Amino acid sequence: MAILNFFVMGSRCAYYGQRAKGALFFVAQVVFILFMAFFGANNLLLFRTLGATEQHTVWDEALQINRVIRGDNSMIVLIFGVLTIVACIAFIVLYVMNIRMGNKAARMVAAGESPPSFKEDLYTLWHDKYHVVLLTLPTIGLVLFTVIPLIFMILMAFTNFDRMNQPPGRLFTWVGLDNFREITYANPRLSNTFFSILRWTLTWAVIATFSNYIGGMALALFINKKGIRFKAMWRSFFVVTIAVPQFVSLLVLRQLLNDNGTVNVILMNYLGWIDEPIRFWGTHARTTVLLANLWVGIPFTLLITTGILMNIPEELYESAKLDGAGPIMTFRKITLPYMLFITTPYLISQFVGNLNNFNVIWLTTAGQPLTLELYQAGRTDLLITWLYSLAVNEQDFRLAATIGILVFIVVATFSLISFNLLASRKREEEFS
Amino acid sequence: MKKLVAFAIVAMIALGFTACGNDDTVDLLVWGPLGNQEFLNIAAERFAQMHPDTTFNFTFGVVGEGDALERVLEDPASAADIFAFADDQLRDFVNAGVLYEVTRNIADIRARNMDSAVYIATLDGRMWAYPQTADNGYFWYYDSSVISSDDVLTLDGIIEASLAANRRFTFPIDVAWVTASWFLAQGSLGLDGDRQVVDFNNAHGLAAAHAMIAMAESGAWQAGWAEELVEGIGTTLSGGVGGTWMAADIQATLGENFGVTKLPTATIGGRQVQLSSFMGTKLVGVNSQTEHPVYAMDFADFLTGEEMQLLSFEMNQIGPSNIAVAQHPSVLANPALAALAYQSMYAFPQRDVQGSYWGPVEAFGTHVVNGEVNTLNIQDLLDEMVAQIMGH
Amino acid sequence: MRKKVGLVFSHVFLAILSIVWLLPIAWLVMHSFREEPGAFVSYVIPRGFTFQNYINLFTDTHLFNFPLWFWNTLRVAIASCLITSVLVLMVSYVFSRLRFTMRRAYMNLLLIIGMFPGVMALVAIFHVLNLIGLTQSLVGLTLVYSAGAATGFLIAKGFFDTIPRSIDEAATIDGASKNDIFWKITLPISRPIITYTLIISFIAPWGDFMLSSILMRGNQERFTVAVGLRQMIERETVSAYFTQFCAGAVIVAIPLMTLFLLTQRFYVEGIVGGASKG
Repeated sequence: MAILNFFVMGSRCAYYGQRAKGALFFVAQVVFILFMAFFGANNLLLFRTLGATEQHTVWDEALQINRVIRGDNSMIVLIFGVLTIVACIAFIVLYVMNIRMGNKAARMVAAGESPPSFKEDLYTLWHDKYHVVLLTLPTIGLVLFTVIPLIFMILMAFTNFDRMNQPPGRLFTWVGLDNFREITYANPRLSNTFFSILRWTLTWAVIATFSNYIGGMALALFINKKGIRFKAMWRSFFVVTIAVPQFVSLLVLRQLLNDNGTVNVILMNYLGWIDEPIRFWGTHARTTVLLANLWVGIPFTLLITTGILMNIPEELYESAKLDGAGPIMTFRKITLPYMLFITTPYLISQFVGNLNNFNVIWLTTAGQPLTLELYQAGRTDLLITWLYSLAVNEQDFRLAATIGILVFIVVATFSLISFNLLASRKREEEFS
Repeated sequence: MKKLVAFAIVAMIALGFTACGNDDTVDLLVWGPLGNQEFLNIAAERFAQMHPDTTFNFTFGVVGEGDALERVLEDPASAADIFAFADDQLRDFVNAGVLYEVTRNIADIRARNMDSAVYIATLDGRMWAYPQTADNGYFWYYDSSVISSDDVLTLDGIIEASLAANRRFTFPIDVAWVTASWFLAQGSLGLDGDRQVVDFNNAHGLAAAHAMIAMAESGAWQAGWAEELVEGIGTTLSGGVGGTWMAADIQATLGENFGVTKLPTATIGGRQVQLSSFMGTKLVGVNSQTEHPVYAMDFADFLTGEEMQLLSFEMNQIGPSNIAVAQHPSVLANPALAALAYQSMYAFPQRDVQGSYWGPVEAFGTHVVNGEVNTLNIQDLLDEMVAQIMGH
Repeated sequence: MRKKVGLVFSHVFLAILSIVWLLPIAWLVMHSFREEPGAFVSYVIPRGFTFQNYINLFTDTHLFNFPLWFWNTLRVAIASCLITSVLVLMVSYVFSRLRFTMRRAYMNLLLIIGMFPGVMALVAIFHVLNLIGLTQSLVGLTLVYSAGAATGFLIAKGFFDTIPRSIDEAATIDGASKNDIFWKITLPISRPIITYTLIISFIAPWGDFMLSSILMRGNQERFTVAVGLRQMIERETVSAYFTQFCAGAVIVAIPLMTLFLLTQRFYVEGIVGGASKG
């Protein structure tokens, strides 16, 4: 019986009375075998070289057409291969569970106990293993629509998938670490551009994050000041901007700041402060995108910090007052530390978000102004927008994917360290 | 037991396939830009009427000519059977094996279209797509109350007349499509295998770049492209570079002062040189993954034929690639199309432009617009531009 | 007296800032009523005002079927915000309340997954959906919007961390299962964080055009407002339809704005509760 269980999943469980569980294992096995027979095995076979037969044509005299005979599509092979591998991993997990549960049931019977019935298993699931119930659905969704696509993207960095090897007409295949070499040192034009954009990406993330944070907090404090009237109204004025979708508001912002846009028109014709238009999107576009980002980001920070300011215990301020502290002292000793303590996680996630801030850059400048100091990139390009243009304009998918991985390494290193160092995170058990 | 289940499932799947396969309607998915949807509908109706013994099921999708490559390559198998695209994508499409070679009725297709359009649709002696338009180019719009028809022949004349009238003109030298006018005036653009080859950093290119800078510093030049021209012409602008899609707006603004002609000549290296341009056609391709290559080809053939090109002109003022339609009195009477045809004598086929061309040329133009180019760095910048165009 | 002058200045300062922030919005609203056509114009005040752009948006659906796109987006937004919220709350509750092996590792894994730059993965998402026959479908779009929800657990988890454990323990003694505790005890007292997750996931579909334009493959019947509105400002149509584009954007903003102002209070509380305990 124990040996049969290696071949027919669920047989051992069923033999020891766990019929429903055994049946489920068996169904899983049948589904998997069918999946592999009709779909998976072929994918895995092709996955090694990412396809074997190239598309070709045969002249069809009767129809007068050069009939296309389809070959393998490397991109589909890659995606389906990933899918199959993930399915295999899931199956292996199930298989190991099958063996273990079978053994456990056998042990229990040998010890004179009766193995848990299906009902009892369900009860355990609902109580001691409730996390399994709650996590299953989110995990499936995540694997299908986030993890599999990401693995696909990662693997693309190890292939020669570009304009010259474009499916369905041509196959692409594995090239190992060539792309990483090319980007980091082998091709100076690319590596210079990469490191130059990396520097700007980091600078952008630091300035964008802190300027938003400080600006938003200052604004919140200002509105919260004693004596300011219509506090809710002022706040609403800023918050309202969040409701307009960014692809609209950033487009408008871009146009308002154009050479002959409304801002220049107001400054020149209505106010007469300047004679020549200010070229906001010219050489100083980096400053302008940082300012545009302030416009986008400050309302968010305002919302968050307003709440926190209201939550600062009044006693803290009163005792400070008794000690004779002035307003600046109070801010430095009470408000700021309190805010920093509470909002550090928010600050870090903002930083990560800014490193990958596709929207604000793409919708305002799309990386422009382009410059010959960089390869196929502009002064405001972040790594994420640069890789997108490489993929879309030049179908350079291999380089784009490689840059994607490098970006990820930067972001992940930084944020994992900070998340795990985070003081407040370590205290999560405080309330237990 | 296991075998039984497997058999049952296989049988079910097989049944499912035959159920779909027995259908003898021809499903054709057609992609075109939004403005063409109505036109495509009419074409499909007429085509179906011409083939009464076959049932067609046409579906239409909105995919602009510029997005076709991206959208199709995402998944050629589920992309349209017939789709419209801009000619600079042709080479990538052919490399990717997405196009069915044009073979049916090819003699007629070659004969009825302009040579330039046939040339554009042909690579290595094989024709890959059906020319649909010949209107993707640019030329010069002007306000004839400010610029006389003599002034508009030379850039110097335009500058002088604009300054005298306190107007400016637009010439978007940071739009790589238009910057080409200068470099292509005496330069060349070609391909070595799949590598873009240009000579914009030789003596001619240098002279062209200097002339471009001189224009930018003339005092009459203004940055900006379509939006700026449409809005400013007649008030602050004397004219500028534009394409057929602006004709209606500009004509409405200028009324009887509407002027349109080829690009002017410019003083490059001490002599008058006619500015060049890119000239493109929109093409219709048949997807190599289609289930119905014959019907798809015949529809593409019909869609780009004389009858439909004439209709396309009447509906949307699209410039024809069909010789007979181009000679039609109403087409000949269209001033923007006439200007385009005039300019096309000096134009370069856009088909031979690779993706790597656009970025570096735009970058150079941007440097000029930003006033960052001077006699010291100009040669270095041109060298870098050419190197980047030729690949990484 | 000095204090009063200071206050006046403060109000003036706030007013100036508000103008800066509201200018783009005001511009948008103003030009959605602009009578004369044309793309971006450089003058500030339109020469004539009209309601026609709004009327056309809903009646002239021949080329741009805005009402349909709005309806599509609304359905997707509602469905995906419900699914997302349930998933996020489930995951956050697990990490906050339940203890099991690999918990910390799984949390870190989710965080890492959430950091990947996603633009390159869109094509793969398309193919996964294609495999299950859900491309060009609003259901598929909803699935993708909500599927990645688990990675956004951090803030909600922080909120749950602040709910005293003693409540759970009391309920357990009364015989409640973990399932009961989650649905009947924890969720009802988590209104702020629920509001927060609902709003965040409701907003996303209105602004996304990259994913939905890949998924819908030109099928106009299935466009969302973001994809549709962007069609209006293509080079061939921009000058005729720009004012309608503005009107469309204003209409999109109205439900979001209302929702925002109505729930502002909860939104603030939700984040604060979350952030304070990481």
